[in-house]
Amino acid sequence: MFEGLGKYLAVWIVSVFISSIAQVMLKLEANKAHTSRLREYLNPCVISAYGIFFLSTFLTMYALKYVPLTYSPIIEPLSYIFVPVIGVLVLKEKVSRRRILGMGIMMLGIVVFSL
Amino acid sequence: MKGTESLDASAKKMGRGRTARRIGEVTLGWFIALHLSLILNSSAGVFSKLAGRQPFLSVRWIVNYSLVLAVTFLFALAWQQVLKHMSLTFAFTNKPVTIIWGLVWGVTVFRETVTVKMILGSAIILLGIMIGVSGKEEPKEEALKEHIDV
Repeated sequence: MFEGLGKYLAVWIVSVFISSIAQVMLKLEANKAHTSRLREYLNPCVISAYGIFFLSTFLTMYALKYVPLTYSPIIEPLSYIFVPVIGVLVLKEKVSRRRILGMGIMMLGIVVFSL
Repeated sequence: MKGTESLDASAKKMGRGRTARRIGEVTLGWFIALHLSLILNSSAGVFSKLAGRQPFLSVRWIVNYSLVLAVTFLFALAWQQVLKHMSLTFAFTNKPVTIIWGLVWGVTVFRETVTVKMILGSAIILLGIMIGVSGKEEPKEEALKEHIDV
């Protein structure tokens, strides 16, 4: 039973993780100069990113068939960890200590909120 | 002295970020744009819940579900513009404000009950955002570059 639940939790976490990758893909494209405003949206990277968001909604729905929705406040905020970490690794964004502190407090707030 | 003042004024008139007020790494204008887009993002949950209360494929369901799609689409358009003007980590430091907006919509639209933990949690989240977002940071090279590009 627990093994089964663990499996679906993993699917949910993968869903949040690939959405976080998609966010970084959006930012990668936003950093580039484009010839027109339309090109800022209609390019392989942004379209794939939205494809990933679409896919992740199905993965989440699949996981929710077996995982109680009450897990949502624990799983969904993982994106607030995944995105900055992938962002720093891939986009080489600089994060100040102050921002890391702010993010830590923010996560604490999310925990208190969903207790 | 007079010369610099008029320079500043003309720069402001042109809407360039150099003299505009900054919140952390972004101009006040883009900071507001970020938050308007996050409010838009949080409103998708409202229409989603409104749709969920209606019988599937009823007129009200169709109206509300269309609003979910419209709001999501508008957010996607706005988000790409917002991301051009700030780092992803900055944008994501602000994103948890949507949790608080969700609470506001829950109370005002759906009359949901609020617990002390929710209010305390919201206050801590806000504090975290304010700390994470503040601090004097030099505008990034790319931020300066984009003023030339646009």
